[in-house]
Amino acid sequence: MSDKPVPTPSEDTARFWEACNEDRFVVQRCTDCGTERFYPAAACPNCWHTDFEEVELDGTGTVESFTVVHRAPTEAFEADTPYVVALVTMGAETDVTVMANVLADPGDVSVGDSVTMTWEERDGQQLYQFELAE
Amino acid sequence: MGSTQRVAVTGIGESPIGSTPDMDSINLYATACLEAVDDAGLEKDDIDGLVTGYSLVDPKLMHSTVVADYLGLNLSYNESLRLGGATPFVGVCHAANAIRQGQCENVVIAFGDNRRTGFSKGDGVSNLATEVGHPEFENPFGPMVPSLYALIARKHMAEYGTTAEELATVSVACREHASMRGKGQQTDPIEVEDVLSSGLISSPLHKLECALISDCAGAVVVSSADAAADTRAPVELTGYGEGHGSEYIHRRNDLLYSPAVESGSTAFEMADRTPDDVDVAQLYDCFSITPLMLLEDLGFCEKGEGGSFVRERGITVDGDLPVNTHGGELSYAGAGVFHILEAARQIRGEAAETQVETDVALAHGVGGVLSTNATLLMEAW
Ligand SMILES: [Zn+2]
Repeated sequence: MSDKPVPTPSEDTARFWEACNEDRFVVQRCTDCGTERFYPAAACPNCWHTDFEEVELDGTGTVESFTVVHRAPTEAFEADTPYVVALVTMGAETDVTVMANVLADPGDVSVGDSVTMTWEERDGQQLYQFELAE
Repeated sequence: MGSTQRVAVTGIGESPIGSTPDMDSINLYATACLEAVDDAGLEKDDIDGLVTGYSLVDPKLMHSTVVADYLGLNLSYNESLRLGGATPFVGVCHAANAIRQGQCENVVIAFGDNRRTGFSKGDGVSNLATEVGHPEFENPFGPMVPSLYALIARKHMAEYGTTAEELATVSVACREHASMRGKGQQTDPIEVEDVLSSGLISSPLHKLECALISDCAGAVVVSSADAAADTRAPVELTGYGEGHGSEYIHRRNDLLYSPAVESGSTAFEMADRTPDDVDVAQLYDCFSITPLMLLEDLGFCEKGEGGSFVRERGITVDGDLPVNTHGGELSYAGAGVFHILEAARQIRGEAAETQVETDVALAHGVGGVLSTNATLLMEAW
């Protein structure tokens, strides 16, 4: 069992985390204004329209920024230091930015790097992560 | 349109700072309030408004009501405000608005906590670490609060060529001021090299680029023009503004801009001033990157030039724009409220060894990850 935090799905996020368990990263696309929204929510933050369609992203992205964590926030992360926490802009046509770890040697990661999504199992929940693209 | 009657900062006060294991959170708040009211030359019964922050150590459902009860205050304006480090700055804005509406005459704004000794060890870092990030979409990946600002710092370096030395210079300047004043939690002078060898917390931020964790509280009295007439050393609050953005860093449209752009321009417009008029700036400095971003977003330099500003123009008392003349959160104490007190001291001429010739002083506060911002401008009464 991991001591690291495992997401607790809410009414808004349950469908998202279920899709993760099929190794699919899905976002909501507003059926009115087209905004792709992440994290999942009951209304579009752009126009407050409540209907949406689910869109699966292809898992490619670009490192917008990153940090190498040397001092862990909690004991559960101590064994992993130093590790990379990154903001990744997803795909070519979305505004979706995701925070996750880049599972790589911290010295190999740069802003602008291409990354692809990978999956980590944590207490029965699949969690999206990234690795450097080939 | 609201009234535009003049409002003043009339009193400033602070608790002991650093480690005060014999004082709990409410005690710190009360001590700062008493000193601020006394400093103004006002009495208990003159106070009809209170804005307090919150306590992570000793949470209350209605914090300001608890502080009012402790101090026996009779209030016509009462507000518990919780906007992270921006809390007392926004509190001053709200107090000024309430005074202009005629709801109250003298408002105390207080903020602090006993985060250094109030938590059991380990708890403190964990508590602060999970206070800011998104519980489902950020915290599972193990960022701590410095990581969230480090993401901005790294982007700034990648985009504009900002260097580690330029960021470290912010910490060195704050320490120099605390050292000159001989007051604060950390007063031993440091060099850029000391900062860069202090150990990475979350790259590119080193230990000496992170705010202190302190037991402390500060308080400010804001008064109507009529009430200010009877006070010892009023300072005019000539402009103020708020700007509010995303709490969660992954939701930011642009990592390199903060809502300080909006809070600053609102304050400057109200005061009919420009950044060029400002003689001293007390800029929230939870991390070294924060003042650097604020120099840009408040208009003291162009976007991307914060690094060269601190390196070439200088932010110490003999530089172009002295910043954090008390030592800031990086050296004086880990709560942003003291920036407000220091702006008032500079206008009053009470800033001792770091006094600079000041007609216009700015204080700027930040909550979250450069999420909520408030800018205050002060001038002689
Ligand atoms: Zn929409």
